[in-house]
Amino acid sequence: MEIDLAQLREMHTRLPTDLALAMVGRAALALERNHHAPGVRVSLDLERVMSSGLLSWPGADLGEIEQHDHNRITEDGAEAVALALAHRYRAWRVIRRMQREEHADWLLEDAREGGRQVVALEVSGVNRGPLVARLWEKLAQVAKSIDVDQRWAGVVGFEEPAAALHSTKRKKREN
Amino acid sequence: MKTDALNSLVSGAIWRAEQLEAHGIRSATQAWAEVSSLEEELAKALPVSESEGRIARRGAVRAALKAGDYARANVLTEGYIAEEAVPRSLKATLRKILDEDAQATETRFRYAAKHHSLREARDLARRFREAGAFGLAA
Amino acid sequence: METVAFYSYKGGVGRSLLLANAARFLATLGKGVVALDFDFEAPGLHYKFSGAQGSSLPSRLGGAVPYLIATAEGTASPPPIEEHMMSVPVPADAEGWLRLMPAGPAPHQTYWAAFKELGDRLRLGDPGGRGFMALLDLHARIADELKPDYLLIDARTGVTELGGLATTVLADTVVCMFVANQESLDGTLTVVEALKGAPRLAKQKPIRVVPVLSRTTATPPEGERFASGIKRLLKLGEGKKGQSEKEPAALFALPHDAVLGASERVVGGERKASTFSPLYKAYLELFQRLFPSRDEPARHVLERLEAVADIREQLTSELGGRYEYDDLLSPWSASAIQEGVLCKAEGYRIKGSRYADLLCRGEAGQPLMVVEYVGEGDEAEALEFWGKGTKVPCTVLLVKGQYGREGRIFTRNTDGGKLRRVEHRWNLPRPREFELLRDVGDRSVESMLDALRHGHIEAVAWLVNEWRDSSLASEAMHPKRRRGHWRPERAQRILDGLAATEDLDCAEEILRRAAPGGYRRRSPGVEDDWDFDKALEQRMAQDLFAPLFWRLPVEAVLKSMEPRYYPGEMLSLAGYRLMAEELMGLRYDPDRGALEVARALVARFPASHGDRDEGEDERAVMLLDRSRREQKESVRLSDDAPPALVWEEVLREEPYWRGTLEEAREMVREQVGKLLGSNVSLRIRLKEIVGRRQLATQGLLGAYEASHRIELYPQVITAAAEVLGLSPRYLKSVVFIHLSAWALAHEARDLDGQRGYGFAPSPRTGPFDRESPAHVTVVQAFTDRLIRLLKDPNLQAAFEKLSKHQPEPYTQWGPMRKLSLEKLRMLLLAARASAPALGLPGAGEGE
Repeated sequence: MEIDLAQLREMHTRLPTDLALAMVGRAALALERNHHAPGVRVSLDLERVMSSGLLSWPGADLGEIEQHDHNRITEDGAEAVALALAHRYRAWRVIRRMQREEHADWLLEDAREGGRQVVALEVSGVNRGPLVARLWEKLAQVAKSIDVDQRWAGVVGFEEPAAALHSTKRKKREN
Repeated sequence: MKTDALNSLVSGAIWRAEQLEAHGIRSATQAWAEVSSLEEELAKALPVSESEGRIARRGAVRAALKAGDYARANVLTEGYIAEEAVPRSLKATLRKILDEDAQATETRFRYAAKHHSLREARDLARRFREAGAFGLAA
Repeated sequence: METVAFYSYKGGVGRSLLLANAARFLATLGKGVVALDFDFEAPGLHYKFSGAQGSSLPSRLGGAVPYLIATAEGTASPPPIEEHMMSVPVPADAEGWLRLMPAGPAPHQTYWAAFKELGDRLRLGDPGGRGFMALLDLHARIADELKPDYLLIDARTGVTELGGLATTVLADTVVCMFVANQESLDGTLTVVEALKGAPRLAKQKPIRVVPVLSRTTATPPEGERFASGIKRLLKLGEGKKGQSEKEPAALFALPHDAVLGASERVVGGERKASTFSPLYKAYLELFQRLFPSRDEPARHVLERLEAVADIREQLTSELGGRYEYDDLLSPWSASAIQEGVLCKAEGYRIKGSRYADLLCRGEAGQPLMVVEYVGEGDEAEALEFWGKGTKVPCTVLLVKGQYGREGRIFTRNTDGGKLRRVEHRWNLPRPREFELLRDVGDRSVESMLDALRHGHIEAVAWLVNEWRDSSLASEAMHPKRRRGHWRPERAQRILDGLAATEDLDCAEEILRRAAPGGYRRRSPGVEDDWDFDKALEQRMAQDLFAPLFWRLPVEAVLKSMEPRYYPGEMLSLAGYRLMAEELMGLRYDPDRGALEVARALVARFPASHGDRDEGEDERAVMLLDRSRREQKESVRLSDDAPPALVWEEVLREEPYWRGTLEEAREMVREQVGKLLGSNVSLRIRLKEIVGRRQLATQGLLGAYEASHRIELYPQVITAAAEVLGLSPRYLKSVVFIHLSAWALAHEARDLDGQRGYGFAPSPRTGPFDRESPAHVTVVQAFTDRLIRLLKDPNLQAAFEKLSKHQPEPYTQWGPMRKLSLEKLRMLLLAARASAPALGLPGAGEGE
């Protein structure tokens, strides 16, 4: 799977341009500070199905990195990656951002199979270390979302580029 | 305004308000006021039967409280609760939002909260607005 | 925590000063107090406290305004409240504490910037209630963390948001101050009515409103409208309780005080009498009402201040009259009195320190007297401290007795010892008394006589008073003032003590005070409530003055004979009458004699004298006056040579010389002068005379002259006393008595009005001219009788010793003791009616 962050705005048309740019820019910084270059291989865990992909982004200027909050680089960068992945994986599109109290960052629409479902997506970034613990945490959080059809958590790691996208519903393993 | 545009605007407004809040910048309250206003527009555009409509309604009230505008939050809540076909769960949630806000306020004034309720203080504030200092304008 | 807000509709009423005084008062009396300056627009409370301490409080950037900025919207981590408070120093012995939360670092510019920011942040109208919560939060935090007993809020004047908040919401009690004009009253009434109608928070008691009229003057404002406004205020608020239940409540009023008010001195809780002023008193009365838990201490402070101020006044005031003993003692000077002294115990017997309300010092700075207000406290504890822990000779404890305030005086000897209560004494010791008496509380006869012996003239007044009180029987006492009781032995002790005085000034004073009418004469215009009547005067003259006249040193006696207050005042009369009337049975009345002479003159010279038209009365007055002046000059101490010595010298020169005494004096002037000029020579001569038993009173030691004058020769008397081993003073008195007896024998009149011609003075025309031995014997007998009547052992001893060395006629008094007084009088009469009375030479002398 190829994930090109430069396409983020096209993937999610309802994303404000400045927001999309900011998120992508931070993702680029998050990756490049970990010495990755565009086109890096990214491990993917999509509902426990392991795979890999190629992640690319517009180049970043590491000289600017000090102007940004390091946590915001990780979190906002993770959101960019997760939204791009969510679109590539499930063709979801952002409806809107949600307030924290909704227990999810983003409300997306899932328009596959002719229907329309709304998806709550909670995203988090991990600069170093495994994603699992964070994933469980986020799943527990997004499980509280109401007025949505699906509840998903996405965690993105930057040291070794990785992304996990899980829903709160346990599915039967597809053969 | 079309909902797409509103959604886009509200997304940007929420993100901005969160950034400002995270940095402890005072204008965060104004940013949340803007969020509340946009959420309110979305709530007007989206029926309560739709999940996005309900999300918007909750968002409007929450954002008003974050903006420090209890009156607005109260008015919005009363308005949404009075809507036709509003689910009971939403009513409960909206009231809970106000209650939680009151509790949070009381936590921030923990000395006063030991002796007085926020309701008392709000009552005083109301009388003050109506009648001025010493109640002379009543 | 009780919250009291101080509010005024208009400024300049003394609100902040009252608050500062209340705060200090409470802290001094054991309470924890926080003062809070809510007058953000014109903050100034910190000036009041810094002024009281004489130095500025340290400036801090904290205060209510910066604190509220930080907490206006609530915060999980409010700033430490300590950073916004400052401690206000209170007196070292204060039992409480005082903290101030100023508005902020006004008038620094940072304050005004913060004040503006607060206006943006603190929104009292916020429907979310955060504005009110922020203020309630501050209030609650003060209560919970600092735990004061009282929070005193200086609220903004006028109708303002915070002023309204401080009074209607935060306060339990509101002190509403106003001044005496319609504008202030109307505004205050409006606010008070609003306060009474304002809703309260759930846990609050109904609001107390205490209206206070400030800066009052003697002239209250007039007008029906003003009066009815005051009435209405009192109905709405609390006033001063009346003395009885029927008496309506009155408004608390703080008088205008040009000194305390202008200086803005904070005196709340002060115990020094010098801080006592009508304004401070009014403060204390108000505090009793405002702070009922401190009602007792406020009352105690007030009582204490009043008591001590009263005592201070007594100590430094001159008393009115000048005749009582206490009146003679000068008051304490203001510089000798120290107020509010914390005295540490000396020595090891007792530890700690104690507060003396007043400490009175002597000229050398030594503590002489302490005054402590004990009230209803432990008197014994106080006494133990001052008794064992200090050497102060006098302690005055002001207690609350059964009948009100009482000053209990405790004294001890200057050498130390236990303090003993002085009973029945109402006035406080004066500084001079500490010199007079070893123990100022010991006003016994013995101690006063001891003071007299040391030459302390003030003791005379006391002793004479005491003699009067001890010796006059109750029926003779004035009905208005029955004090003392008849104690004749005590009176005698006093009399003996007075008579023993050696100091001439004291002796003069004794005679002045003992003289008939002495009190009135001494202090013209002073009301003498003793109100002597004639009988009492006579008693004093007879029983006190007369004996003292004969017993006191002659020099003082002669001084007493000088007319003092008006010409002719004859104080000596009583003394002479004792001899003349009591003993000799004669009448001595020089005035009558003078009047008779006047009549005789008028009869002889009826026409007016010179240009003046003098009638009988005028001549009588003039002669009376002259007679009395002569009386004064009738006794003197003379430096002249005694006739006997003159004749002795003449005989040594020329044994057969014949001439008058004056011629003789002239002849031997130089020799006699040398003799008298040398004490040694004189003594040698007198020794010879003594050896010959020629030490006659008449002519040698003194003389009763042809001019009817008594002369004493002090140089000769002194030398003779040395030769005989006698006190010159008592020898002089004996000589004086003898010569006076002789003079009276001559001049006093019998029942027929006749004088004693037989006792006419000898002309002394020759060296061997002597008085008739019979006359000498009679006079000597009366001398003895008088001395025995006086019961003065010193005089008796001097008389007896002298007579042993005198010619025989002077010694016959012994056997004559066997005669009754009646018999002696008859002998006197016979001796008086000698040759001159029968028309023989010498008759009519002096007529």
